[in-house]
Amino acid sequence: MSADIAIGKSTWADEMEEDEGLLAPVVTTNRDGTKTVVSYRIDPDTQKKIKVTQKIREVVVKERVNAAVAERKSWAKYGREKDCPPGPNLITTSVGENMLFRLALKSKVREEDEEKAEAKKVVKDKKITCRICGGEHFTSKCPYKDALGPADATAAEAEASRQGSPAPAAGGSYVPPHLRNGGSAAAGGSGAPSENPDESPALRISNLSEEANEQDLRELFGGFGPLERVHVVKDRETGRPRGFAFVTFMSRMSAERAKKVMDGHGFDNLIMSVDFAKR
Amino acid sequence: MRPIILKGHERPLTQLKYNREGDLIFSTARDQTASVWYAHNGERLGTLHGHNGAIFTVDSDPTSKVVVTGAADNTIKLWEIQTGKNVYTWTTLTTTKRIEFSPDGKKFLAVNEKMMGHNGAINIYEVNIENPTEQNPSPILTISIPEGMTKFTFAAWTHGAQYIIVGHADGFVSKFDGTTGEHITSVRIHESGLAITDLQTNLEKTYAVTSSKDKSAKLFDVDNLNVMKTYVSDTPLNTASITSVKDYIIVGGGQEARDVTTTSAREGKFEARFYHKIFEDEIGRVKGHFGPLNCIVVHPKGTAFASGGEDGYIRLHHFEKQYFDFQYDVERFAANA
Repeated sequence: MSADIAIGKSTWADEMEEDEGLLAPVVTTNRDGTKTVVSYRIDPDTQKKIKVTQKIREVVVKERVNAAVAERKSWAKYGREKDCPPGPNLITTSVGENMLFRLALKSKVREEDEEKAEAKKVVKDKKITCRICGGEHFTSKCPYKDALGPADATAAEAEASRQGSPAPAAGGSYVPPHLRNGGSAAAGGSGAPSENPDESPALRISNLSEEANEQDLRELFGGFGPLERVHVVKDRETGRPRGFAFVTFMSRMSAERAKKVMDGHGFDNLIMSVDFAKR
Repeated sequence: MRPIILKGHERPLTQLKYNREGDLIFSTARDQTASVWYAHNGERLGTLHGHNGAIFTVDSDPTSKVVVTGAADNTIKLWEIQTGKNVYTWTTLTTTKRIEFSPDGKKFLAVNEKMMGHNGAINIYEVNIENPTEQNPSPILTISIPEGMTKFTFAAWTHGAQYIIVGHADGFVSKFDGTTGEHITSVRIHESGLAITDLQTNLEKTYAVTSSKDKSAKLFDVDNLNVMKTYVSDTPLNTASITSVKDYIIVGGGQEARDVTTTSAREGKFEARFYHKIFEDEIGRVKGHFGPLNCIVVHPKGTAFASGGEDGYIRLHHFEKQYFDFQYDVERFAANA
C-alpha cells in the first residue's frame, strides 16, 4: 500500500516537471451537451503562459461500410510500420495547408491574364531596354540571359565602348556622378575602393527559393562575417519574392568567403548561385 | 481542400493504385519498397520489402487479398496484403513496367521492357489466389512487339478482358486480342518520337486516356481506337486519369526532373490539372508538389485523388462539395429544362 502511494507521488511529480508547472486541462460538461476544455500552454516565442479555452461538441456519425473494408481496417501493421499503434504515423503522414481549390472555366482565368498583359503593354510604352541585349524587355526577362552571361559583364563592356565615343549628349539617360567626365571607375581606374564595383562586398544571390526571407538569408550568410544589408527583391505587384536577393557584407574578405561556400549551395529545393553584385 | 501528405518513400514515386473498394492505396517507388496505405486517413498499413531494384508497378486483385509488384530486378512478386509477406516470385527476362489484373482476377498482364538484347513483350500470368504459394511459373501467353513497331510502354485490359490496349514509345496505340494475343490494329494518336507515358481506362474499361510527352492527353474508344477528345497542356505529361461520378480528366507532369534544381519553382508547372472530359477545357489546378508528377489515380468512387511526384511525396486529396457542384451553364440549363 505504501509502495503504491510512493509510485503515485513520483508520477505526479514527474508530470509537474514535464508540464513546467502548468495546470492540467480542465474539462467541464455543459448543459447543452457541449464540453468546455480549458488548457494552458507556453508560447515558444514569447515564453508567456497562454490559456486556451475550447468548446467541443461531439457528434456521432454512423456510417455503413463494406464488411471487407471494415475487416481490413483491423489488420495488424507490418514492414516499417510493425508494432506502431493504430492511427496515422506522424512521421509519414501529415496534413497539408488548406488550399483553395475551385473549379472554374478557364475563359475567366484568361480574361484576368489578358488584363495583366494589358498592364504589361502600358509599362512597355515607357521604353524599357535590356542591359544584356538592348531589346525592349526587362533585363531579368532577357532570352539571351544564359547565352550572353550576366548583364553586368556586358554592361561593363558597353560602358567601356561608350567611353571611346564622346559622352552622350543631353537628353540621354542619367549618368551617375562617378561615371561623369569620362569617369574610369568601371574600366578599373583610380576610383576609391568603396566606389569600385570590383571591390564591393555585396553579393547577388540568384535562383533563390521564393520561400526564403530576409531572416533565412541572415542566418545563412551571417556566419561569414558581419552583414551590412540584406535585401530580398520582391515583385512590385504581387509582393512575392522574385527569386533573387542581395547581401552586403562589411568587408570584402567575408563576402569572398561567403561566395566560395554558398555558390552552388542548396536551399529549399533550389541550388543558389552566388556572385558579386555589380552596379 | 486539405491534402494529406504521405512521406513514405525516399525516391520518386512510380505508380499509385487504389484497390477495388478504394479503402487501400498502394504505392511503389524507386527506393525498392512498396507501401500500403489506408486511403481515408493516410495511415500506412505496412511496407513490402524484398525487391532489389526500383519497383515500377503494382496492382491488387479484385478481392484485395494479394498484390502483385513488378520491378527492375527482373522479378514479379506476389504479396499477401494482410501480412505483407512475399508469397511467390516470378522471374522475368527484363524489367516489368506495368502490371494489371484482368477484371476476373484470375490472371494479370505484365509489360516487360525492351532491354539487354530482349525485345520486350507483354506476358500474361495466371494467379491462384486461394493457394498463393503455388503458381504457374511461366506465362500462359506472350505477346511480342509487332513487326516494325517500337517497344511497349503501358498496357491495360478492356471490358471482360476481351482486348489488351497497349501504348508504344512513339505515340502509337495497339489493340490485341485478350485470349489469343493476336494483333488487331495499331493507330498513331500522339506525336511521333514521343513516348506514351500513361494509359488508364475508365472503371467500365470501355475507353481509355493516354498521356504523352507531346504535352497532350487523349481520350479514345477501346473498340476502334478513335480519338474522341484531346486535352492540350503546356508541359510534358507523365500521367492522366479519368474521374468517375464527375466528367473530368486529371493530368499531371511538369518539366523534366533533371531541370528542376536549376530553374525557378514557378516555371516547373508541377500541378495536377483538371480538364472537363467532354468540353476539353482546363477547369482547375492543384498545386503542391515540387517535382514533376509521376502518377495520378482517382478513387474508384470518384471522391478523392492521389498524386505521386518525383519529389517522393504522395498527396492525397479528398474532394469538397464545390467539386461535385461545378457545372457548365449548358449542363445547368439542360438539368432545369
